[in-house]
Amino acid sequence: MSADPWNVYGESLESRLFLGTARYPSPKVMADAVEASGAEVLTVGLRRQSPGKLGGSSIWERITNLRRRILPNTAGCHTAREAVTLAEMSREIFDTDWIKLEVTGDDYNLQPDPYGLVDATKELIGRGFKVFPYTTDDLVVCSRLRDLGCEIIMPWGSPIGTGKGLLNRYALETLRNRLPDVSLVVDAGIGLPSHAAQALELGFDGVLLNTAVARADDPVAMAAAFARAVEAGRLAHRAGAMAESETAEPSTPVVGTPFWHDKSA
Amino acid sequence: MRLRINGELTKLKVAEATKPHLDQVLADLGYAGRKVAVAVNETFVPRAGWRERVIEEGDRLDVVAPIQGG
Repeated sequence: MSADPWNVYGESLESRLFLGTARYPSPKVMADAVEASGAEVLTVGLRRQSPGKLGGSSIWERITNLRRRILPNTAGCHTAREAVTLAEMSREIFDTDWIKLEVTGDDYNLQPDPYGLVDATKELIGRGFKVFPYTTDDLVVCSRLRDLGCEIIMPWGSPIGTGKGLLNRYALETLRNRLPDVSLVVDAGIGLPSHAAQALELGFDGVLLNTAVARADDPVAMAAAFARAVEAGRLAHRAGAMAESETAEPSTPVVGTPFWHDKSA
Repeated sequence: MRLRINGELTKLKVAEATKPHLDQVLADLGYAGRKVAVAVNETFVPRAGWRERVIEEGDRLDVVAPIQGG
């Protein structure tokens, strides 16, 4: 199979799977799942730290030892101002200008707030960040993010942690068609390798997932399954799918069918 | 001096008539040498500015560290 790298803010990546580092049964399982997934980009977060607790630094050491690119998130932020502040803190701690920008607008389904997201994106790009916005699949919002300078946009497939897959295939296809020059990654809602394959088949450049691997009975095996599904989906997209048809067409040639009698004779 | 550290009201002993700097406050709280980032009153203060940043009575400090995330 030919190499098929893609580009994210000037960085060439081979893997089209971004993997989260949360919710695994143990740090060792997380590390093994990362290896099995082939992911080159891992998402991490920041939380308040009491001086007495060393937990944060030991987790960070484990993640650092995996030697992957780090994509810090602003999970939990509800305003553009909070997200911008957390992004600044992330840039210092993780020594990267990449930021997975999350501004939550609704706590029930953790739906991104498009207004806060656009405001924060504008501010962060002005401050030199490479923004990876987590957004709904709204075409106008995504177009605005592109206009602000985002080279990658990450619409949800379905709400975070639901595993419901691609709920609005039409919206995702529309994004792909209307934003051909932006890297598109389905972030959130992917529950099965087949969902990831569907995203890549649609022409999405990658997927970002966490829970589907971390909460599988065997996260390491599931990580391997996702790696193959992403690869299969990408290959299928490049291969070009057949056109759908409303009527059946025999795939076996009809000429020479045995036992056939011309009923008109 | 009373501060709000990560949302919790915290009393800190400081010399009378002097206002401490952020690096001193963090050291007193036990954060010296730790991989943390800090915001004062919801505004990021880069590590390079900790020595100059004066901390006032009632300031709110958020001290964060890396965790796993999605």
